[in-house]
Amino acid sequence: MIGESADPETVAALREFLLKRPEVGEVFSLITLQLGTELMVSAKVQMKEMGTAAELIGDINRVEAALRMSFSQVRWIFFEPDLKD
Amino acid sequence: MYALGANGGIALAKGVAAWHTGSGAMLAETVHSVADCANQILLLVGLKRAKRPCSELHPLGYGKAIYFWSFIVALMLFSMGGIFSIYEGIHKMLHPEMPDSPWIAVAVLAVSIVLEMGSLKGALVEVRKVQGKRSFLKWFRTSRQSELIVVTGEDIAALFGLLFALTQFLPRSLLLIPSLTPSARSLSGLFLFLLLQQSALRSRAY
Repeated sequence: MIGESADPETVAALREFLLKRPEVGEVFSLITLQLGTELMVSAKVQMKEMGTAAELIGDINRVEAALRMSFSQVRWIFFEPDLKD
Repeated sequence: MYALGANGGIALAKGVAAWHTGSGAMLAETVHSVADCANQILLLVGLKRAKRPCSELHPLGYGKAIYFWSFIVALMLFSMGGIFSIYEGIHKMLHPEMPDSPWIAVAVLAVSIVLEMGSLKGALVEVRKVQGKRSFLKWFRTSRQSELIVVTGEDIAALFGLLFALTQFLPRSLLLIPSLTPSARSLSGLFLFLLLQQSALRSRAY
């Protein structure tokens, strides 16, 4: 299990959750690492609204907070906004 | 925790029987159950060590530590439990002996079965909480909870071993025919061996 992702169901649920967020356009990559009971999530995402840097940061923080609320085992999130994969 | 309590109870039952009958086989069984307790304690150590807070050297915490400890326990169970059972079974087949007080042995088996069932039920309650819509086998293959896989595997294997022993032991005690139980021991040993090999492989993640 060392180096394994979250179980496939959780990965699918995470991807679906991100795609359903109004701030998110596309999910380019979603890397998860299961660390015992805790989960690390790294995502490269195209955001829908690209306003000022402050607005973008606000959007990202909202997505991160919502993700933590819905998936209690997620402990670390590395979130990268991007335009293409 | 359930498993530790159950194995503690089984070790106690076997210990009392060994002291009462002075049987060498029962003493060996006692040692076996004490070793099971030690394994459960090792798993608890693993769970505790996995909970340590993040540090500069371990920025993402110690969560993976539980995989190491689960692997150690799975290895110990399947080598000491499995291989030792097979060895003992072959040994007894070559040198059959009659039990002095079969009914005490049957009583110990019965107590052990009840306790082991309690332990298995506790583990299955935990499995049901996380299994969702998956079948048990699918959970076993896709779960990331190594400690639960190892404990559940051990409980199932131990229960089958005890049931094998009882089905072989009862007719033997009634008819006073030696030499049937050793094959049961080898069989249960083989079973334990295979199941725990699966658990070990799983926590090592192929």
